[in-house]
Amino acid sequence: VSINAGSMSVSDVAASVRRRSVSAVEIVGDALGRIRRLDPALNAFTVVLEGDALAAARQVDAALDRGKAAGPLAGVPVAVKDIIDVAGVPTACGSTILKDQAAHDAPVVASLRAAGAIIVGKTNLHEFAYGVTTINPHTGTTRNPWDLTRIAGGSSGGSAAAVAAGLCCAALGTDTGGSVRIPSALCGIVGFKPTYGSVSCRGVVPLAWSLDHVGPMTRTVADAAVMYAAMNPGRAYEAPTVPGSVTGTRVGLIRPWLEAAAPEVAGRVADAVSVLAGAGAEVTDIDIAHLETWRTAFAMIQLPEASAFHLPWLRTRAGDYGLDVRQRLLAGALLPATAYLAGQRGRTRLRDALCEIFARVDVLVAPTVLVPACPISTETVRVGFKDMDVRTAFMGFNPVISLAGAPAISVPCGFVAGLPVGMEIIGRRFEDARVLEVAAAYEARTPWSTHRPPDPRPD
Amino acid sequence: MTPGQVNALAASLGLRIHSEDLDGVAAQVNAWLERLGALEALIGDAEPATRSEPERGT
Repeated sequence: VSINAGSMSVSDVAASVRRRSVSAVEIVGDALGRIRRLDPALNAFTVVLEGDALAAARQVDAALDRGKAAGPLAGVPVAVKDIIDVAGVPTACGSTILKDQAAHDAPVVASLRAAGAIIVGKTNLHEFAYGVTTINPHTGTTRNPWDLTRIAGGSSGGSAAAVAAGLCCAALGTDTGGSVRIPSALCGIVGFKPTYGSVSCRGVVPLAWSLDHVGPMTRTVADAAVMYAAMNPGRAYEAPTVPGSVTGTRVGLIRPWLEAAAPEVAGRVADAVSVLAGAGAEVTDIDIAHLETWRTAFAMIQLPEASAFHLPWLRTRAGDYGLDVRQRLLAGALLPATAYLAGQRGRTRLRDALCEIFARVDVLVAPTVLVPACPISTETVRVGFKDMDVRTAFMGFNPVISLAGAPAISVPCGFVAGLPVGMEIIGRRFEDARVLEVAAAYEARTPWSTHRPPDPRPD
Repeated sequence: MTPGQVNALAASLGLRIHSEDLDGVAAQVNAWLERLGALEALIGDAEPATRSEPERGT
C-alpha cells in the first residue's frame, strides 16, 4: 500500500491499518509531514499535535498487535476546528480572549477517538465562528488550496482547506448559518450539516445556541457517512446505503435560490440536477416563498444569541475582538426582545412551510454558494448583475436551512474558472441517511470528488 | 436610530461603543430593524389575532 494520507479515503485508511498493510504511525506520520510542508502556505492549522498524534497512533498499532478489534476510523488523521474542545489543548476560537486548555475532549471528539481516529491538530476559523471568510486578525487568513489568493470560506475555513489539501483525511467543523457547507463548497470537498441536535454540541463554544451544529468535512460522501456514524455512537441511527440509488426519489430544485446564483454557478448546479434526473430521480421546480424574510428570521435569532453569550467580554474586553465581529456583536446586543421573538415565530412558520414542501418532494437541491471563492482582499462580489457584500453573498440562503434544523450536505459539482462550486442537498429533519444517499448517488456518477488541488509551493 | 441613540442604548446596557465602531454598529442595527418589518408583517398575516382554541387552556 502506498502511504498517502493526502488522497486516501477514510475507509481505505482504516481498512489498511486494520489489516496491517500500513501502520497508523506511518499514516499519521505522512499527514504530519504534509502539514509541515504545506500548511505554511495555507494557514489551515492553529495547533499541530505532532507528539500526541504519534503517541495515539502507536496505541492503535499496539492494540492491533495485541489482537484487539480496531474501530471504523482506525489510524485516520482527523483535524478539529478550534472551537471544539480537545483535552489538554486551548480552545481559542481564533480569538485572543479564550486561552484556557480544555480539561476534557468534547463528546464528539471522544467518540471519534473511540472509533480509532487520530487528532492531528486544531484548525483555523473566523474569529468565534462569526463570519464566512476565515480572514482572522489574530490567527491569520486561511487560504484556498485551489488559489492561494482567495478565501477558503468560513467559518470552518481551516478544516475545509486542510481536507482539500490532503493534510488530513477528515475534519470537524461547526455550522450555524452555513459554516460547514460554505467553506466545503469553496474548497471542493464534502461538508455535512446533520439534523439540529443529532450531534452533541457539548464542549463546543457556542455561536448561537439554538442554531449551532457540528458536522464532518471530508473528500467523499462515503467518508462523511463513516464520520457521521462514528460521531453518533449509541444513538438510533439509520446508516445510509452508500452509494445509494435515487430511482424514484423526488428532488425539488429550489428555483429562486438557483436564480439568485451567478449564472456560471447556476449552470453547474443545473447540470448536477440533470445527472440526478438521469439516474432516475423525479425532478420538479420548487418555490420557497419569502426566502429573504426567513433569512431575516435567522438573523433575529443568531444576532442576540451570539451577543448574549459574548456580553460579559463585550463589556470588559471589546477591544480584543476584530472589528467585524465586534460590530456584529454590538449590533446584536441592541436589538429588542421583540425581534428575537419574531425570529422564533418565523422559525415555526418556516418549518410549517417546509413540511408542506416535503410532502411533495423527498429532498431539495440548490447551489451551496452563489459565487466561487473571491480574492482575499475583496469586500463586495458581483453576483450576476448585482454587487453584494461578501458576507451576504457567501451565506446565501444557507441560514434558512439552519433555521429549519434540516440536514444538508454540500457536494462538489464542478468548477467555474478553476474554482470549485457545490450543490447542496437538503432533507427532512432526521432523514440524514437519505441526504447522504442522494449525495452519494450523485457523487458516484461524476468525477468531482477525485479532483485535488495541486500542492501549494512552500514560500 | 441615530448614532447618538445607539450610543445611549449601548451605555444603558453597560456597553461602550468607540467612535470607530459607532457608524458601523448604527448602520447594522438600522438595517436589521428595517428588515424586521417584513418578518413581522409575514408573521402577522399568518396568525390570527386571537389564539386558536386548543391554546386557550381550561
